[in-house]
Amino acid sequence: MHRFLRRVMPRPALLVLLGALATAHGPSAMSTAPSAQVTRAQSALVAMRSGLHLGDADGFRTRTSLVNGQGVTVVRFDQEHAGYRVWGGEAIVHARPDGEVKTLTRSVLPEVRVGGEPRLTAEQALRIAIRDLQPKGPFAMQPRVERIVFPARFTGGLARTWDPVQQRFRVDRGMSILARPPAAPYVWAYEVRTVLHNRADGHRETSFVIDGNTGSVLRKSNDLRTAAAIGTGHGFYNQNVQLGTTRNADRTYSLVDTTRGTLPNPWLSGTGPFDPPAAGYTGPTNGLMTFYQDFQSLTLGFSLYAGNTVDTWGDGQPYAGSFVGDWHDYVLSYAEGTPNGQSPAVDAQYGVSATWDFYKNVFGRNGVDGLGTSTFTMSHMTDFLTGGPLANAWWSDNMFGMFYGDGDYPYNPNGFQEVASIDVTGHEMTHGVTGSTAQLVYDGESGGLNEASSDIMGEMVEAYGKRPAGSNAAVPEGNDFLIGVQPGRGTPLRWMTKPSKDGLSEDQWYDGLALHEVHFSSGPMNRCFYFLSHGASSDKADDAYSPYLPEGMTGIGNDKAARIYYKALTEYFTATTDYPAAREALLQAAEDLFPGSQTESDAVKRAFAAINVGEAPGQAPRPLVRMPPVHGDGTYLGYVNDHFFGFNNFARSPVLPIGVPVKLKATVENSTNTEVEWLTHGRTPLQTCGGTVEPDGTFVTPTKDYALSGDDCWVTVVSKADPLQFAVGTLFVINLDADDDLEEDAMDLGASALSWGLPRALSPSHSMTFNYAVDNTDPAFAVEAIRNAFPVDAAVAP
Amino acid sequence: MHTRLLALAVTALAVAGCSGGGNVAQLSYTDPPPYTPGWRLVKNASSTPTRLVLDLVGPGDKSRGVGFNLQADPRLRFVPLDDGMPVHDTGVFELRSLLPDTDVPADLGEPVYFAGGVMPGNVLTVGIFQKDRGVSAKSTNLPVLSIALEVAPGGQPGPLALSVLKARAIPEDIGGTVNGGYDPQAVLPPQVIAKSHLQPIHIAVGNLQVN
Repeated sequence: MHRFLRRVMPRPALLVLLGALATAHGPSAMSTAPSAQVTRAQSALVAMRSGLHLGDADGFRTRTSLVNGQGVTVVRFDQEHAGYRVWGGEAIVHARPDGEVKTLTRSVLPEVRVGGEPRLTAEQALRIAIRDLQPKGPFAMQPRVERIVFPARFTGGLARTWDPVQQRFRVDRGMSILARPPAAPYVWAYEVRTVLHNRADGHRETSFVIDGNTGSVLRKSNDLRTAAAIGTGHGFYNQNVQLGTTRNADRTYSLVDTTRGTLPNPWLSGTGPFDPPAAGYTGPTNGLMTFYQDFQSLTLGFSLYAGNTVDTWGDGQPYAGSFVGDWHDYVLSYAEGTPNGQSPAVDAQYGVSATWDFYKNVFGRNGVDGLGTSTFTMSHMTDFLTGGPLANAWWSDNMFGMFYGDGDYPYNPNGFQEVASIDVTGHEMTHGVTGSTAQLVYDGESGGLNEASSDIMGEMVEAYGKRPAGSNAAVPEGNDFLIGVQPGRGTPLRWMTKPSKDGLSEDQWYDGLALHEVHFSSGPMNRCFYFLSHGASSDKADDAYSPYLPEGMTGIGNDKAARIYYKALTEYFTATTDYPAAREALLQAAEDLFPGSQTESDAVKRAFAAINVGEAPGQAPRPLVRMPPVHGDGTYLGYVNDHFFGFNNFARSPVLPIGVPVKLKATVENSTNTEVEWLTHGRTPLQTCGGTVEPDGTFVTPTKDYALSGDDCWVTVVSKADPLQFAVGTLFVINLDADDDLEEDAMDLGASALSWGLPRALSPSHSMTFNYAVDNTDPAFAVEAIRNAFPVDAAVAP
Repeated sequence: MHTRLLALAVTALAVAGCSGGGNVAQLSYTDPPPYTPGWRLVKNASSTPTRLVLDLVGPGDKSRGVGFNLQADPRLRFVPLDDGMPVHDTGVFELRSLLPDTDVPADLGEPVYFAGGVMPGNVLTVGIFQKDRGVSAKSTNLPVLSIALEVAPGGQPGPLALSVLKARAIPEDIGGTVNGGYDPQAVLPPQVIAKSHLQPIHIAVGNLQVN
């Protein structure tokens, strides 16, 4: 999709002084004085420790505390052990004014044991992370290193990349984690968070978990959340709108809305966990600020829209672009600051302002974090890989701001124009709300729910933007439930009513949905929300028809649906919430908001039943098909990484050699008929797998080397009792035959070892992963394949 | 003396019979002759009557790693050892890459070329290979790896087949040209490249019997 564009840019030297960079964070005190309610909530959790299989060394650290619209204090706690945060462990406590306390401890990790002290220092861990990151330019902020307790089972491995051109996943060696999980269930580790924002690296935010004893990289993830993809303002999408601006002492105006955001932006002001602030930045830090990417700054400096003498912004026309020329040969236009260049910025600021007002007026939420912390938008971002136009946008938790591209149309005739439509800005800012509350892990089902939360609230912001005058406290009915239809020039990014219309998203939950990329596994939740608000049809020809709820259902309207979802997201979702847990959370939220009423909770049950999660009132449990991993758990947990920024998906994808017999397993619950049919393909025509699976699950892996294509081998198993019930799994099949003797065995390790570390393999066969050189990827994959294919337990003994 | 041994054996069988557990199959293994050229599978002193532990010992020449496929009688089963694999690393080979000019592994958790499994046909496949050319080759006169076997209950007395189907090693003289760990700029001389092949080796196996 993106071709490399010619541009000559100087490469800045790596201005990093490691010793000065490491900021080790030990046990932290609460950042705010604990109120009586927070203290009561904490005491309730501490009293539950033995029941949670925790001991005296275990505790809970307040992350956030807010009072909701019902007067209930909602406190989110990070789990800690010996004063250090336990990665992935959390609890939520609802403390009511009448003294009642409810706890949500689903995500508390039990039996935490870790002894001694880490062998590595925080600085050593940082060095390891930087060695892996290989930055080409300076960091945008001081990397943060925090000593933590890490659960070994979250060690990540095989990374896959979503190829938008081929519409398939490919293995991404750069993001793959090659370490085996530590033997102990919990280990000392360091979490290292980095932010690069410079011409050589572009914008990258990467987190690492480094084993505190071995130095192994245990987990690596991208921290950006994307859309995959506004005085008086004349935006392209928003032609005549009012914008909050600032009149300066010199009688000029700037795009700084001081009515939205009272606390300083943590990055711009340097008051956040990262230090120092934006390099050389001396501008405002409070309010909603709108910048553009300064192409003349080596560090992609922030240029504030300012110096306007008439306080009118934009020309209402499509932005002509930051580039002049064609796809192959162009020069920079430096038009970002012109009236035409202001138009996308007007759209962005208007959308973010509308989102801010939506959260404040409908839910009583003061900004992204509920505390009024200031945020910003950055317009005119470019594609870091190509240096060309960018058809995307993202939210940065670290910088507490949003970034928007100008779109890649017309350079790409099938591409997107300016991305800052109101639903997209609502989407991005909601990533910030999620980051301040549920912190849904951007992998698997929770990643899909993270994306769905942004899609849902983005659509509600769009609906809110069309509200009649004077009705600021409710979400009006209607809207298109199409995500990004304006950037797509009439073709949306996603259809919430029937997500599968894009050819990739899913309409329903199934075992294996977690394998899907998060912008596509969001489909069922998007559809569920549409059903909840607008209802489901009983007409098979209708996009709103679901075979899982053929009788259809009546919706409860946008306002109620939005309130239920917001409450669930901010008060009941945790980092690892999956679809079944999301159903429970929405049910609890409906009961909280509408006590004594069945209408809303029944609607929640029906909406989830319509996406194959749980049963509607009166429905019998459906057969449930599951596909356990092939041969053990597979040491390598696959995670998915988008070609731009990285979407993680810790789903199991065992590595296996070609041509070996394996036993695929499936279980069928809730039915006496446990017969299944095996299919050697996944959910799209491109997800295929050679060979035939016998009815008993016996399967000889294909002789096709999937490493060559960087693809996966997909398998689907369908219930014969109910063909609507199925599960999906993947295998990564690799030819081990490094010694070219047509046998897959352990001696192939030796042949591969002959070329390890060489810039060019002595024989192409020496790299089973088809690298030009042979590096640690090869032993990692090969050893894993041997372990998975030839387990000792399968040894024959009469 | 012979009479006393016979009496002990009879007593043992009688005890086994009285316990109702049937015959306890016991493995005996006779090492290949000590001066057999090449590599040998020899009995490890930690073996028990029901579990045979075999060490792979080389001819004393230096090497950078070895692997083999060993087919066992269907009545035998291989035993999981290191990390659930049917092979034990005795520590002779340095499997990790080292920091330049040191004997300190750069990363204790990095992937290594060491694996084992049991393929169809009860064929054990094991391999243990150094990867860092900057690390010296190791003498093979000490056990470089171990494996272990057990016999299924009720096995009939008699010889049990144990045969090496394939065995290969990395010779000594392919290294020393890359100075410490992964080096993407390394260039190998042609004479070193010419030697960079797995060499077939012979592994002598002793006689295995169930009693």
